[in-house]
Amino acid sequence: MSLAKSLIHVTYLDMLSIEDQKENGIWICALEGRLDGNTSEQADKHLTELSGNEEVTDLILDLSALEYLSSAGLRVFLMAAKRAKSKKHQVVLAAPNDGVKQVLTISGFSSILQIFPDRASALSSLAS
Amino acid sequence: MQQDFGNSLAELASLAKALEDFGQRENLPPAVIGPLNLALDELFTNIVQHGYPPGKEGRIFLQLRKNENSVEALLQDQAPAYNPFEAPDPDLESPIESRPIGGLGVHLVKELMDHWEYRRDSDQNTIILRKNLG
Repeated sequence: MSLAKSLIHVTYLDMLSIEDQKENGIWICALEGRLDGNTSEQADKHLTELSGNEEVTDLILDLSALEYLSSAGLRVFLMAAKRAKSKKHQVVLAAPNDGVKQVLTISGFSSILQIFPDRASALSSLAS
Repeated sequence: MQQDFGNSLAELASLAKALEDFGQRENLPPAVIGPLNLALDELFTNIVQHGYPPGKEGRIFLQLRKNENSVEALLQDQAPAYNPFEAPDPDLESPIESRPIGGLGVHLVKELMDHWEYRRDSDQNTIILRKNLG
């Protein structure tokens, strides 16, 4: 077991922080705060840059500290999933709170993105 | 409660704060305030991005009222007439590569609210939302 290593931690508009980490060889993006129309552009830019890194294959979006998600944020997730899919990689979601999970479900995202209850189960699924 | 907001996405934080304060004052559970915040956020974002012409200043008015069995929100702007509820339903089933981007905001409003309506009156777009209590 390698320890989670914090690589980059960026805060956008005081409302959203994103921390890129790598655990057991798998990249994780931990989102904290609010992902809405005000922060989605920065989040999209962040994830686009990350996907341009050749080291990054599958990606876990850790939502455990994401308090709020609107359709602007869903758009960011969908774009990330499309980019990954075009390279035969996948994006999975981990640990959404109840409100965020409800938004994902009623938007039909549970049929295109795997959602895991926690980071550990997402990691073990991608490792296998 | 009533409040005027500027025509800017940075105001989404003020909108969330207004909802939180209203919820505390009226003793409303997160299961009511959360969906109401999201529904208003989606409509507010639409007005900022597609309602007022780019660069034009405008105001967005919000009024919240607690009734006996529901919470009612009224949202008004002076942008050109537009009924968001006439937008086509989004595609919720295509696979990732062909899933269209967008159209989910109004879908969320319809799913989360118990009542929604649009009116154009005295040169204003008026939206009324209702979320039932309990």
